[in-house]
Amino acid sequence: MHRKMSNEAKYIEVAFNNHKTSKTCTEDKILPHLKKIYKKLSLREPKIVIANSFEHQEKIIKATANKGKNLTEEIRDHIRDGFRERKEKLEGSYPFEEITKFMENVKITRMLMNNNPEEFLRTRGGFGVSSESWIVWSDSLNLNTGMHKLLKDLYLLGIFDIAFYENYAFICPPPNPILKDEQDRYHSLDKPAIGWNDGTGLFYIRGVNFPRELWERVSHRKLSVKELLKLENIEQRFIALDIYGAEKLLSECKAQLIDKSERGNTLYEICELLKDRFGTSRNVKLLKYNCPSTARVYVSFVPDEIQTADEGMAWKFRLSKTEYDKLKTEA
Amino acid sequence: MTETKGGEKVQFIARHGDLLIKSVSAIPVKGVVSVVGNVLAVGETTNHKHALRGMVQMYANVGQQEVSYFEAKEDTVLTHEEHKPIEIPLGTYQVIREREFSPFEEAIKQVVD
Repeated sequence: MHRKMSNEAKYIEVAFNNHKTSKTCTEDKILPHLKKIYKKLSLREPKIVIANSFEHQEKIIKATANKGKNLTEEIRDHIRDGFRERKEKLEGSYPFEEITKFMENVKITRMLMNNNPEEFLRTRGGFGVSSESWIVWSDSLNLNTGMHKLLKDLYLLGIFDIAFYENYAFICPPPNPILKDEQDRYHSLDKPAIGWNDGTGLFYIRGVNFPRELWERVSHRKLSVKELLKLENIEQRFIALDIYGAEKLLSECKAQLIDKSERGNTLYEICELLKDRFGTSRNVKLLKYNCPSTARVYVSFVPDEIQTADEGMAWKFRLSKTEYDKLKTEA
Repeated sequence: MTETKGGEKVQFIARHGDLLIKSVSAIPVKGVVSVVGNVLAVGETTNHKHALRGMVQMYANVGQQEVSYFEAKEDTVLTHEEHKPIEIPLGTYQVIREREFSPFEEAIKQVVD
């Protein structure tokens, strides 16, 4: 049985490589596949529109009149039928762990697809926003027949996403270039890490996704100390801190060292970062700590009553100081 | 309590990135519902997962999606794309998420990664 992530990577790479070698998704290659899919749905072949980028695809869809009904649900019904049949065969004869993994993938993907398709695209790195996950599952479960095969073959021509409508199929080609760092994480400080020719794309720094505006400010060091410390997402905050420099940040906000523990945690007090409602400076406490596995440096505020660095770490995980002292397994 | 040192029972506590795993004597009878799967948490910006490898039953507090407890039905391993794996002995556990203070909002918040 294949592992999910490796399959995902494999299909993304196939799509990207096709694009790099000029095997772009041209109309004449796509049409025969689309004809078969639409025939299965008892429909005539659609007009094909190939967009420049994912954003462009969305704009064209909105602007196109007379596109007919969105066929996503019909296609999903075919996919679900295939899965249902296969799952019923698997139950009872398959290891519990594999069924659990399968269901977990279904749950996470459904949650992302239904609640936040944009987030789905960003976190999964693309490849068929509405379809990438089932391609992986269908392969894992050897579902290589019917609609599954037709759709998979279509995507593997080198397509990033397709929006199926009664009269039109709106196609988004794969992004190019895809930029990664030495650890194979999506990464670029001067353009979208996953980008299209029209300049749009998805922005990553060392594998961490950023909205475009924030990415610009972080990568060009335009974030103020206060803005950096206010970043809600701790991974985005770590990246910004790493680019800015932890020591530089502490020096710029005149952080006073209060305590440093043997475990490498450091507690600081900052006096001039915040003002209260009367305009008076309010002292705040900032904890600097490392990830034991990656050695990344993080900063996090702790409540005023915290007196020592380890007390601050204990508070962060709802432990007493005694419990934290006993915590030996950290990764 | 899952570890024994010289006959004395010792609580299992382990930190895995922004999660803390703490052994408990039992899963609460009320206020939790069972959850299918083996993933304790997924990073929003990285899609990295804290996942258990082994036979587990997970639980979430009623009305919430986040896993708050789990039962390891056998010795299992907690994995992640970046954090080193941690061996979790058979037993029942509470999952605690890292928190931080926001002086800007004067509020305690769960860390978002």
